[in-house]
Amino acid sequence: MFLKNSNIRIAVLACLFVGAAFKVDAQKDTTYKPFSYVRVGLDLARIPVSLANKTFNAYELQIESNFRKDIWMLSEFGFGNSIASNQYVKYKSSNVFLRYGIDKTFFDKEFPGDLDNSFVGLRYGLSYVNRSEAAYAIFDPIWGNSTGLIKQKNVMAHWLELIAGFKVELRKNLFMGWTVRGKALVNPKAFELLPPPYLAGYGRGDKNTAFGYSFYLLYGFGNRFMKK
Amino acid sequence: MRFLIALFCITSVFYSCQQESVCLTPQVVVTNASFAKRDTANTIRDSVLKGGRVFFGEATIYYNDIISNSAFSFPLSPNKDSIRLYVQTDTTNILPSALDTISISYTRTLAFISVACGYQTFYEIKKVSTTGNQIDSVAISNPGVTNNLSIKHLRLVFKK
Repeated sequence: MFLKNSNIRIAVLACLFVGAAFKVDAQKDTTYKPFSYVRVGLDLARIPVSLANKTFNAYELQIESNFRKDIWMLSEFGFGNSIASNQYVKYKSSNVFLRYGIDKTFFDKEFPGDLDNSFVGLRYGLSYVNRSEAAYAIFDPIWGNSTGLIKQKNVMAHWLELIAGFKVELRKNLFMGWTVRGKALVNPKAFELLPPPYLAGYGRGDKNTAFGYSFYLLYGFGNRFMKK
Repeated sequence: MRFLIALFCITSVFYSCQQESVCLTPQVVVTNASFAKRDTANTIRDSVLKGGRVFFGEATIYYNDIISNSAFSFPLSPNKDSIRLYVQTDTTNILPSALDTISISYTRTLAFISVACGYQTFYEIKKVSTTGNQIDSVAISNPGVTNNLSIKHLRLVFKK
């Protein structure tokens, strides 16, 4: 039934795994001020590839803020375009995406205002995909070749991500961080007829699971001590 | 500067691995048919056809020589809902009684393979009939014809 879909099964297991990591501290810090420090960043890893690659581009920004002592809430958003042009298919796609999620940090602060940390996290991603009309050709030396058109279609894509990474402060309020991501598409049937060549924020549109990484450069502002 | 070059190299390698630009999936979609024969007790048993020939294709210009085989393969037409193939059980015998016509009706489905490979046509065999000169009957073992090449779809049962 519900758990027969292998992607949903992976997603549920990921939620359980991260849920265990997100055990909330029993003792509540009454002086803690949530959403007092905000970081805004850009995924640098996408830029050189997008500039060098003729078949796809993707750009991504991140905004995050402290929620609890060891939990950050964040949103990542971006856009991208891709094109497939070979002897078998010709079409384009573009998409905008948004990811919501939380990160759970591991280490205690070594000094007041210390924001270097490693983390695991969970993301829910959704994307609005616009796929153009596609032309296809099937080559058959015996019965003859056939060609056809697939109608233009707009699709919503949903996926879940399990992530891990770290962030370090290079200079005051300037951070960099790696994030590795395991992703599972929740609604792969939406792309059954023809997936986008590349889905910005996710990866290859014709794969139900994907692996990716981000390299963020972030700037932080606000009360870094996160106290009232 | 060194950092930026390293970043560019790592991301380029990573993302180039994500892009499949060459079609690596097998694109052959064929129907596989095996031979069988009724024995003296009228039981159907797998058999081998020796010295036969199967004609198919537009204007029947293609053929498979069956020197000594237990099965043969042929493609269905992605442009039609039915085809005919002609089975000659003995290439030295050109009499009409040595030739059988097999008519196959099927439905077609466009199946997406990958961005690099595009589409293929998959089929669902609905009906098979034969003229019954040398072939007793044709059974549909598996109606779904896809790019899975290991499946046997038809079984041609020859007369005793």
